[in-house]
Amino acid sequence: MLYLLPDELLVAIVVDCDQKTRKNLSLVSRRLRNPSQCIIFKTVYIPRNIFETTVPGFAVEDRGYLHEAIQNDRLLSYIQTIVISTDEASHHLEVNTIGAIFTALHQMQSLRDIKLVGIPFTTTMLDRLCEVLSTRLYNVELWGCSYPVDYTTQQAALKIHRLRLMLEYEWTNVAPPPMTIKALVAIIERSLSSISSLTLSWSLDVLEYVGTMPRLTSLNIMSGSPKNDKWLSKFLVANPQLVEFALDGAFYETSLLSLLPPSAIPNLRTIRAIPEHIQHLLPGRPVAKVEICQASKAKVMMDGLRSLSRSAALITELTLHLHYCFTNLNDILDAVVERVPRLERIWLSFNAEVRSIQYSGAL
Amino acid sequence: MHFEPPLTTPFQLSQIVLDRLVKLDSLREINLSVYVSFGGMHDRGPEKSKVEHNFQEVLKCFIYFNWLQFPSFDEFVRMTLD
Repeated sequence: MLYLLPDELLVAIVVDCDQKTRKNLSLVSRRLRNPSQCIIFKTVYIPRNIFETTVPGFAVEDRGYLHEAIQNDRLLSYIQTIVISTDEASHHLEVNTIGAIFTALHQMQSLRDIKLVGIPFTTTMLDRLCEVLSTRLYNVELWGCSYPVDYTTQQAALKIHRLRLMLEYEWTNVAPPPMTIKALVAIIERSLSSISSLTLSWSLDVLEYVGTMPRLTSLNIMSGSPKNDKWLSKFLVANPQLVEFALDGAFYETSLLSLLPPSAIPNLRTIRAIPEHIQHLLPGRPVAKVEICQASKAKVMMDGLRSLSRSAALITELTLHLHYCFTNLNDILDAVVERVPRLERIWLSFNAEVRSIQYSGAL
Repeated sequence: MHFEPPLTTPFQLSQIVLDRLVKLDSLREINLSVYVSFGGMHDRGPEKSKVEHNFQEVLKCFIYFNWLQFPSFDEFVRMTLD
């Protein structure tokens, strides 16, 4: 009976199975092999990352199997998401092995999401990647990679839908090397007309070289330093089409707000930031969705809430990240009721930190 | 340093949230989450008890809100809470 079902239904059944069952099904018969493997290989991790074991996907841990798999066109054609990692949490991959995977990217006809962690890029690898990125739209994440000096891509245009650039310099307090910024700028410059979402973490230096990105609607700054504020401000002015802006970098004093003219980002609809930034960014802009995060004190949160009524549009969705120990919760909720009377959805996230508790017999 | 008990348990917290936000006529959805962080804490007796207590309250809190979001589960959740 099972064998009479069309492939689409078999695939729908396999989707609901756990990974072990999928693997077992793929070994039952040729009829079940393809529907099972197209789900098994939908997301591939090379190699397995201990931080991502809970994510459903296929983890390639055996090096011999990896070499076999990247020569199998059928298996490669199933891959929609690939994560290649050489970070400390995973085993080290040899450069030759990584090179072979990059060469195989061409055969991954269904590939849409590419996440590369800690890759020691060579010019050849970047060329291979850019060749693939020139064919159709991808979501790309580059996390803590190293880049060759003076890299310039040969492709006239790259097609990237969502781009996430994460450097790892927060602990060392060292600026990213110039070749890193150059390579990232080279990639962004060739994909200016396709990127709709850009996330930057410790890589704001690229904004110095990037102007208008006509399709960009979402900008997420996860972390940075005040020296980047001038470029961030210029970038925001040059991109009035932005509708989503997140400024998570709450742990540095930013001068951005004093640099940003009131006429900047006039189409802003969604914002995520600490209360101090919300107060400055929200008034006069048509913001409908607000997320207020990392309020250090209840009073600061109250100041952020008071500014909500100054949006040029009705706020319908609100997210508040609150410390569990805030004692003025009633005041906070009253401010929500007063300042956001047309609210439709609310997310309240309480963080109960018990690390510093010392027992004094009060329990 | 003395332990300062939180204002409410997560369960009471959910009731406070509801009491206040009920004034919003247009509100269609409330999502509440409580994260209990234990990083770096040494599990000594009294503190461990406190942690377990928190876990129980968080569980109640989530059940309570599930009930709010899915009224059809009313009876089931009431049984669970009992």
